[in-house]
Amino acid sequence: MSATLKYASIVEADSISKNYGQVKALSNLNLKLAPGEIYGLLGPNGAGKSTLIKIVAGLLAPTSGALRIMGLDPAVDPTGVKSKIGYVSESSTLYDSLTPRDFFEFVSSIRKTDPELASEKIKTLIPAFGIDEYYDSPIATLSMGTKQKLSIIAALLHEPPLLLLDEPLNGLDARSSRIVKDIISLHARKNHGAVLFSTHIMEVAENVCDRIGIIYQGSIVAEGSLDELRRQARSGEDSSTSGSKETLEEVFLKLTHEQQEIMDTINSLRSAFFADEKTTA
Amino acid sequence: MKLREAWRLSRVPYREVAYRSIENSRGSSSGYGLHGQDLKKRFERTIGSARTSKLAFAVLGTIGAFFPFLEYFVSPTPEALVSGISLSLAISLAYIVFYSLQILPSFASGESYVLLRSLPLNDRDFSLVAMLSFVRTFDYIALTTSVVQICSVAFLTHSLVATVMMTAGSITNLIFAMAIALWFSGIFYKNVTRGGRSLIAKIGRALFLITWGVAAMSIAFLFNFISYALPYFASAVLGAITQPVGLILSVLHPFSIGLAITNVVYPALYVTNPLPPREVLLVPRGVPPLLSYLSTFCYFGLTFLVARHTFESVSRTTRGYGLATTKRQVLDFRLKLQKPLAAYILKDLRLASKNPSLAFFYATPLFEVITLAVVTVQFPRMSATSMIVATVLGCFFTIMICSTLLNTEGAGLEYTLSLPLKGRTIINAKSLIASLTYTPVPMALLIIGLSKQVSSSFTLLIPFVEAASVVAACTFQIAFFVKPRKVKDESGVQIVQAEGFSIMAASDVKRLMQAFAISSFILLLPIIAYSVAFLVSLNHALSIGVMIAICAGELGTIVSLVRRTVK
Repeated sequence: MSATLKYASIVEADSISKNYGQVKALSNLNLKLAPGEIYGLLGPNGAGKSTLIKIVAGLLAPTSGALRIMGLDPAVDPTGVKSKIGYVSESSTLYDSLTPRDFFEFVSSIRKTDPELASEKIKTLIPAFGIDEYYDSPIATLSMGTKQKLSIIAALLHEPPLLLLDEPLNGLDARSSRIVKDIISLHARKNHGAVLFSTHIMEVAENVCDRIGIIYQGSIVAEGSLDELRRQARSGEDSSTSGSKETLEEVFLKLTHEQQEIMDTINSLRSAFFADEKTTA
Repeated sequence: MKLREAWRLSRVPYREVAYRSIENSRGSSSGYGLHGQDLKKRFERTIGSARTSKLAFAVLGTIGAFFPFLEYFVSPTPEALVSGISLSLAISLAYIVFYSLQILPSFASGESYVLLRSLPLNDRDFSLVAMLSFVRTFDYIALTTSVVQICSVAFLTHSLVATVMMTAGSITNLIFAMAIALWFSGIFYKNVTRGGRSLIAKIGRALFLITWGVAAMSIAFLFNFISYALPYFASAVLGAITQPVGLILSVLHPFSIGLAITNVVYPALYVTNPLPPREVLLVPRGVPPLLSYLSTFCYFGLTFLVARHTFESVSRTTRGYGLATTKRQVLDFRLKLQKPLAAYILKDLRLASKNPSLAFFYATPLFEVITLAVVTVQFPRMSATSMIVATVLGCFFTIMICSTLLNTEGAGLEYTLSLPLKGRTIINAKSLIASLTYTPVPMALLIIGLSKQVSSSFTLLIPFVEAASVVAACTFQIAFFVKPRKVKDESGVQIVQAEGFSIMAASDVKRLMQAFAISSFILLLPIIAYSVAFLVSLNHALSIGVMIAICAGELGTIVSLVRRTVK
C-alpha cells in the first residue's frame, strides 16, 4: 500500500463538469486527494455528491474536464482505474439472488485478489459486522443495513488505494458505524490510502475527515478542516457574531446560504401547524 | 371498498411492478446519466412501453386464441369445435402462465407494495387492491382472449347454453392460469431461496431446477402433445373411446370444457354416430360426454376455491412474506476464487438458477435431446434435409438462451460496472454459456444418424460445422445488447454499458426482434450455402467445405468486430 506514497495526489480532478441534459450537476469542480487523506463531501440533496463519486469511480464520464486516478485516465484505462478503487454505492444494489459467499467470490475473482488474502479478510470482517449467520443466505432476504455491510466488506477485500464511499453509514447500526469509521481511519493512517466519502451526518464528517468539501449546486463552495471552514463562514460577517465556536451544521448552513431560508421555512411551518408557537428570529 | 375504487387504486402498485420488472430485467445501470426531468420522462416512457407491450402481447394472444376456431369456420364438424375450444383455452392458459412468470420475480419481492402497506387499508381491501394490480399485468390479454373465445362460440354455435358455458370456461381458464403461475413461482422461491451448502441440498436444488426447467419448457411442448392426442379426443366426441388418452382428456381441463360444449351443441351425436371401422368399444357410449359434463361443473366449482387461494396467495406475497431470512451457523468462510471469465460464467449460472423466469435454461440440453429424438423419430433415414431441419431446431434453442442470459444482471448491474471488468469478458462469458447449450445437439444427432441410415456420412458433420456459426450468432446477439450506446442528451456521453431487455417493454421487444433476425440470418447462411452448393455440385464433401468456409468467415468477422468496438 505504501506504493500510494509515490503519488502526490491519488485523485486529481481538474475543472470537471457534468451535464444531465439541461441540468448542470457539476460545474468546473476541482478536487485533489493526497495519500492518507480522508475527504468528506457535504452537501444538500442533489448537490452533486453522488455524481462526483460516480465519475471518480469510472461509472460516469464527465462532460468536460480532466481526471486522473493515481496517474491513470478513467476514459483511457477504465479497468486499470477500477482495479484501484473500492466503491460503495448509496443504494447497495447487489445481486439479490446470490449469497454473500457467492457475491464475495465473484467480486474477488473479478478483482483478481489473492485468495488467501481475501479469505483472511473475510474471516475477520464477517464476524466483526455480525453477519456470519447470513453468510450462506440469499442477499434478497437480508435487511438494507446488512446489504450495506456486504457492500462495504466487498470494497475492502482487495485493499484498494482509494475508497469511494457514497453515504456508507446509511442503514448501519451503531456498532457497525463505529467499525466503519475506524476502518476508514486505519485505511488512511496505516495504509496511506485515500478516502472520498459523502455523508449527511455532520458529526461523522467532523470527527473522521481531514478535509471537508462543501458542495453546493455542483461546485465546491468551501474546503478545508473544520477550523478553516469556520473562518470561511465568518468572512464577510460582522465581528459580533463571529466569536463563538460554531458547529459544522451551522457552518454548513451558512456556506450553502441555507440558514435564513431554513429559518423562514421553520417559521412558516410553525405558524401553519402550531398557531400558538412563536416564530424564531 | 368498492371494486371500482380498488381497481383505480391498483394502478399505482401495478405501475411500480411494471417499472421494476422492466428495470430489473434491463439492469439498473441503464439509468446512469439521467437526472430529474429526464428520469421522470424515462419513467413515463417505461410505463408507456409496458402498455404498448401489453397491447402487442394481447394482439398475439388474441390471434392465438382465435386461430384454433378457424377450422370450424371452414368445416363445421364436432371434431373441429371440440379441438377449437380446447386448443384455444390451452393456448391462452399457457400464454398467460408464460407471461406472468416473466413478471412474478418483481412481484414476489413485495417491494412494490411497501407504500400500499403503510396506508390505513383493512386486510380485505389491501388484498383486493394487490390482487387487481396483479390482474392488471395481463388484463388486456385476459380480456381480449376471453372475448374472442366467447364471441367465436356464440357466433359459430348460435347456442345460448354453449355461450354461457364458454364464458364460465374462459373465466375458469384465466383463474387457473393465474394460480398455476403463482404456484410455480411459490414452489421455486421455497426451493431455491432456502440456501444450504450440504451435498444433499445441492443435489435437491439441481433436481428441482431440471424439473422446473422441463415444466416451463413443456408449455411449448404441450402443443405437440395436443396435435398427437386430439385425434383420440375427437373419437371421444363421437362417443367411442378407442384409446385411454381420450378418456383422460375428457376429464382434463380445458379439454373437458371443449367436449362438454360440443355435446351441448351436438346432443345426439354420441348415440347416432357409428363406430369407426375396426374400432373396439372399450367404454359405453355416453360415458365420455357424461364425464366431461361432470368434470366441467367440478372445474367451475373448483374455480371459486382456486380464486380464493390465489387471492390469499397474492395478498401474502405482496405483504413481503415470500422471502424469509434464513440464519445458519457458518464455520467455513474460505472463498474459492476463479479467473474473471470463469467467475462471470459462474455468477451468471448462479443467478439464472435462482430466477423463475430464467431457470428453464438448465433444462435446455435435456429438452433439446428429447425434442430432436421426437422430431427425428418420424424420419426413416437421416437425409441431408432431415439433418438440416434437426440442426436448425437445435440452433434456435441456443439463440433463445442467449436472450435469457441478457436478463441475469438485473439490479446488480450497477455493481458489476464498478468492477475492473472488460465489456469483452461479459460478451465472451455469456456467448460461451449460450454456445455450450448447443453441445448436445451435434452429439445427439451423431448418435441418431449412426443408428439410422444416412444419405452420406458427410451429413453427420453438418451440426458440428454449424457450431462455429452458433458461436458467431450468440456473440453477435450478446454484443448487440452489451455494446455501449450513446444517450440522446446534449452531452452525448456513453451511458449504457450493458443492458438486458424486458418483454414488458415494447421497445425492448423490438430490439430483441432485430437481434433475433440478424442472428437467424447468421445461423441460416451456412445452411443455405450448403444447400445451394449441393444443388449445384451434388457433392456432399464440397458442400461441407463451402459450409466450413462460411462458418469460419462469420466467426472471424464477428470476433474481430467485437474486438474492435468493445473495450
